[in-house]
Amino acid sequence: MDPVTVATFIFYLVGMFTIGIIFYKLTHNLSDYVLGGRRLGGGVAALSAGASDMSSWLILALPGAMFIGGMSEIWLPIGLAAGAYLNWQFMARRLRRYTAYANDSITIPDFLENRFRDRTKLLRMISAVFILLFFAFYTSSGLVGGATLFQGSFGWEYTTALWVGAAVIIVYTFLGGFLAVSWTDFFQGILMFLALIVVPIRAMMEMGGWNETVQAVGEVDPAHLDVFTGASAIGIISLLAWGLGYFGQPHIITRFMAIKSEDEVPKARLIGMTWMVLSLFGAIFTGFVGIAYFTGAGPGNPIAEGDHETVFILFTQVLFDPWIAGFLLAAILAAIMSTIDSQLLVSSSALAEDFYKGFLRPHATGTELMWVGRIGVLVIALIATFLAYNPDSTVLELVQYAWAGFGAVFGPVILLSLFWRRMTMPGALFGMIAGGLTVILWALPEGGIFDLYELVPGFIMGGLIAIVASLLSRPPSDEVIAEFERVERREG
Amino acid sequence: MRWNVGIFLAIEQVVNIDVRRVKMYELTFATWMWLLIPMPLLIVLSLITFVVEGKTSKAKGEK
Repeated sequence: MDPVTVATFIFYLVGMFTIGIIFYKLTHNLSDYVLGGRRLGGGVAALSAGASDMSSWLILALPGAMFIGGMSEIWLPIGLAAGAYLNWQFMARRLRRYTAYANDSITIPDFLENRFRDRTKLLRMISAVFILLFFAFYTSSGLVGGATLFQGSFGWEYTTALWVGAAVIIVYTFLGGFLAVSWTDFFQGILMFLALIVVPIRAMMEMGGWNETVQAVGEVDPAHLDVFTGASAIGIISLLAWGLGYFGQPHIITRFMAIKSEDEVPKARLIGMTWMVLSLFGAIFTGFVGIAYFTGAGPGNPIAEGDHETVFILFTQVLFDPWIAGFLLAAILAAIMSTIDSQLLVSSSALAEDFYKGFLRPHATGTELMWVGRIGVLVIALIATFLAYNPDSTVLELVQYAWAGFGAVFGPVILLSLFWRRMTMPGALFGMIAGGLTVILWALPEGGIFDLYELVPGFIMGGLIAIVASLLSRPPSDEVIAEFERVERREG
Repeated sequence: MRWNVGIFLAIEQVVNIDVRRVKMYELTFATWMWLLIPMPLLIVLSLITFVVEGKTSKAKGEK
């Protein structure tokens, strides 16, 4: 790799370290460490939520899918953007308010226990185990992506690349906690945004403009210009339904809990949605122009079969000078790291708040819990790194169920907990179990209706069972109802 | 009849153009419709709710 590109890469990594060190000094207890003391501004909350959400999928996989399938791939981005909007519109304010009212809950398992005054601790335990298990694989899968990028960019051995990537993330997350993660995600979000705007515009200019690009794509295959090519109703509904998953992703909705005031939500929503929609369009058009540029119709050498996800990287190499290419490549690393660090922190909070404080030492001091959280980051990151040692391990395939799993387990239960007065602890418990089991069972058979994305039946079943079990169980106590009403009236 | 064809037949009745064949800037009208309406609409909605909810908060004196 060009030394200049390496220099920009290192500059970027040093920047991340610096942010970690700055926020180390501002973190004093577990609430600071896992929720930034609820003092996140709207802009940082918006971009950090977006960057945590979008992994390398945005910069590598989505342009790659567009490169292969053309315009018929836009259903997934549409579904995701709609889901993110609904999440900001309906969940953000209410979750921020309710978690503050419900004994200042700082994690999702903590909120579920406090919301229902669950003395059995079952809600806390089941949700925390689910978070720890799935985020271990999720984080591990992200580390594989980071290591592959380092390996390809610097020519390192896979294991060296894996440890370097893990070390960078561990250091700033370990030191600075939530504030470091949010601020690094904020800058990483800006970097990703700029990269996804600059690359397709520059590539389209190189092709001679919009009309020339579309004509060239049409010459490669006219079907690439049609949004319905090869799309069935079940396929389109499945892709759109990915948006439902947003209601249950702990690493994204914790940003709502951390925002400094719910009055910041409208601003955050506007910034977050503008960032997301423009970034998605950037990724879509990177792949779209790639069809024209890299398939023989344009000036680029054709991309080898199976290498379609390198379309963004190839554009950075052929269209930009090494200084800019370095930053554009760093944007891929930013996308990977900004997702891993948030997942790592949510897992660490499950360990510190939900297991250590919840079961072992209920009266532990703030400083003690903060250090347990830090050690949690280290332990989970090490487990994830060891899991990533074999990138072809079938265990990592579990990740494909993580989005649907989180969406179906937490999505309907959290929404009902926030908005339905009659919701009860057994309703939440059985709703989570039903949502999770439906996702697993639905994914096993193939063909017909089972081609529908498992999140759809999982979400519906989780919600239905939560409602039925709530209605069949004893109504909530007066204390729980009184708190719900205070949240509704937004009393001080 | 495929469901999406049904949607387009309905639209064609209203706007009186063949949305799967008529092209605007080289892409079919149908592709533009799906590409340009849903996602930018979310930015517009965010802008509207930003203005409306900002006014509501001020009216309540909560800021």
